[in-house]
Amino acid sequence: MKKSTKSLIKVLAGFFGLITLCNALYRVDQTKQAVITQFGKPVRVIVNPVRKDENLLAKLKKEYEKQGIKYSEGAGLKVKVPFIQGVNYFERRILAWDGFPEQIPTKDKKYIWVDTTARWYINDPLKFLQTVRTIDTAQARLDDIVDSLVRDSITARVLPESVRNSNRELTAAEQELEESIKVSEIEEGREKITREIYENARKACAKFGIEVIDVRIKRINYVDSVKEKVFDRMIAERERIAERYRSEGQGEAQKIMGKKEFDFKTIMSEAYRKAQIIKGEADGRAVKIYAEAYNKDPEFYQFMKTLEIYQNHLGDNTKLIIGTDNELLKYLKDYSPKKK
Amino acid sequence: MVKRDYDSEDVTVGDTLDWLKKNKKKVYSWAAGFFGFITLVSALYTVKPDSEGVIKRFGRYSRTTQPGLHLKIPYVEGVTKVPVRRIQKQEFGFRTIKGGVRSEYVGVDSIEKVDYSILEKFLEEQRKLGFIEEEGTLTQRATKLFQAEYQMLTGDLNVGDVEFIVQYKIKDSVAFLFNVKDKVKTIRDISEAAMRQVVGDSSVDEALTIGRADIQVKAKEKLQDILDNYNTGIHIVDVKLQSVNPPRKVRPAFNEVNEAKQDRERLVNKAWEEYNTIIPKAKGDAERMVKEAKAYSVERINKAKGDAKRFVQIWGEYIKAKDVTRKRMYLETLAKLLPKIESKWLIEQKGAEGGLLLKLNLGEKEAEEEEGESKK
Repeated sequence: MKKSTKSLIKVLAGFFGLITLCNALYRVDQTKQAVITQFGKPVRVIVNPVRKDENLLAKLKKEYEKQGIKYSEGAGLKVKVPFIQGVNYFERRILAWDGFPEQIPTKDKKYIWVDTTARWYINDPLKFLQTVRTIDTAQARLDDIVDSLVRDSITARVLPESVRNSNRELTAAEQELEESIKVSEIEEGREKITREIYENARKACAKFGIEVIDVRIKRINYVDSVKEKVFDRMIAERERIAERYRSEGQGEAQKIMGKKEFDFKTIMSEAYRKAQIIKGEADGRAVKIYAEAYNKDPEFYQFMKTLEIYQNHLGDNTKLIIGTDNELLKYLKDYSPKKK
Repeated sequence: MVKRDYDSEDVTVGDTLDWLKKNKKKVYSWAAGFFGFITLVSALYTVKPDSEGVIKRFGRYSRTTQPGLHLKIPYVEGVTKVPVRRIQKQEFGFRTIKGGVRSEYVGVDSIEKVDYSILEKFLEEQRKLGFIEEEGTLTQRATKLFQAEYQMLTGDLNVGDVEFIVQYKIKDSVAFLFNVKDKVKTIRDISEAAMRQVVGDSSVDEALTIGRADIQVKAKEKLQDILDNYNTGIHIVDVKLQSVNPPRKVRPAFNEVNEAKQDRERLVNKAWEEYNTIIPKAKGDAERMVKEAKAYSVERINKAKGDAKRFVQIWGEYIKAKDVTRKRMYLETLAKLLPKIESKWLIEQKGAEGGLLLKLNLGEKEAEEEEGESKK
């Protein structure tokens, strides 16, 4: 052989050796699981459980070995037969399933939008490969299963059951509203219902190598037409209370004005009464005092008083005509003492 | 080798190979140095103070390292840095556009004022989270999506608009990296589920005002429970309600209740004000009335007593000399009286001195007139 050909063969041999080595080694990431197939037939499964369930893993091991498939655990660098064997990777992590928001009527004929979400993971990569193969297909299966479970659960119950979770007493800002917020007591509640959906979904999906770990109601709301009615109700309730407050205010104000009138009249009339009594008593006593004094000599009193009256009330415009036998003029005519 | 015509600037593969053959040693040493450098770069790594480093060897988890400069096996080991000390936030019902001292938000009330690019970003985020848009303009679509996020059913079967935030930290970087795919989506989905469950057990009034603290605590607990069930490695720092309102259409009616309450207060206060203006004054007037009566009483009685005493004293003296006193009193009165009277006429009494009428004016004025007349 030529020298150059030898070296070329060497290089090529080395090159192919390297490729073979690379193909024999493969890496399973911490976030992944794998199934090794040989000409399409599974020969080895590498599980990488996100939840360590010893019973389940033992079961899986038995299952696999029954089918003549090797069982291993954990991520890392692995070896396989190059070229003949292929690697199928699967997610190990918890995945999210999103339901399409559904319009669902409750038992008491209220139409509501329900948007559910679920969490699941692949706990049996072999079964997963054999049944759904891809995550998209799995999600589609979940759509069918969970959507119908949700629908069944919601339509079988009245609205409060899906909304509330306990019979906790609700409080209202206005006392007047306490009555209207009393909703009928629930028997199950949201948690119980979603738990029921979750357990049923879990059972139904086990055959896909899937473990459903949770189903939750993410959003729940009235359908638009129902919402409008609810709004109207809320408005009417509050307006009724506002009206009540206003009329209470007016009533109270009226009462106070009435009290004002009453108190005023009472005070003034009481005072008037007292004043009159006092004055009356005073007048009475005065009369008594006068009478006691004047009654000592009524004639003299009259004399004295009359003179005072002359003195005070006869004046400027009076013309006085005095008779000559008046006492005053007595001495005009005669100065001698007279006996009258 | 076949010689060809070419420019000295053209370099052929042949030339390169020749050059490599000639400088084997140099090339080898250069290559070695180069690979050594790359290896070193691959072996050294730093972890920032707010993070941890998670090392995977051939994809398998190996160890966690703390902040600082570290070595790892080059090529074989890979590092992922996880910000475990950083507090992160998710917003529901609104988005912060600009942080800092004066934050700006976009929520349903401010959608019209906001740049289109921001709305598009929001819609993009919603699409990634798996929410489906309805039809309509950009503003309409964004509004509907915001509304779907914050509108909730309450325990009294009413509707409330609830904005809230969730603050969280990564507490277990290994769990965080390897247990859950779509971590942000999981946090958001479960935050919404938890908040709705708690609000669904509260009345609309409790969500608006009186039960806010309680709801925050319960939602936080629920959220943490579920995330721990999934082993997400996330620690919920806080769940805080932001603005909680009754739905727009209903808001005026809710406000009216408060206004009506205030009106009631006002009416009652005003009435009391009037009462308190009138009544104390009336009491004052009443007191005055009584006091005046008392004053009158005292005055009247004292006057009576005084008058009576005076009379009794005068009479006491009068009794001692009746005639003389009477005359005196009479004359004194006349003496005071006569000067006041302007015209006085004296008339002779009936027929005693025989028909002579003496007309004697004691008033000066008339006497002057007489004189004047007699002069004529």
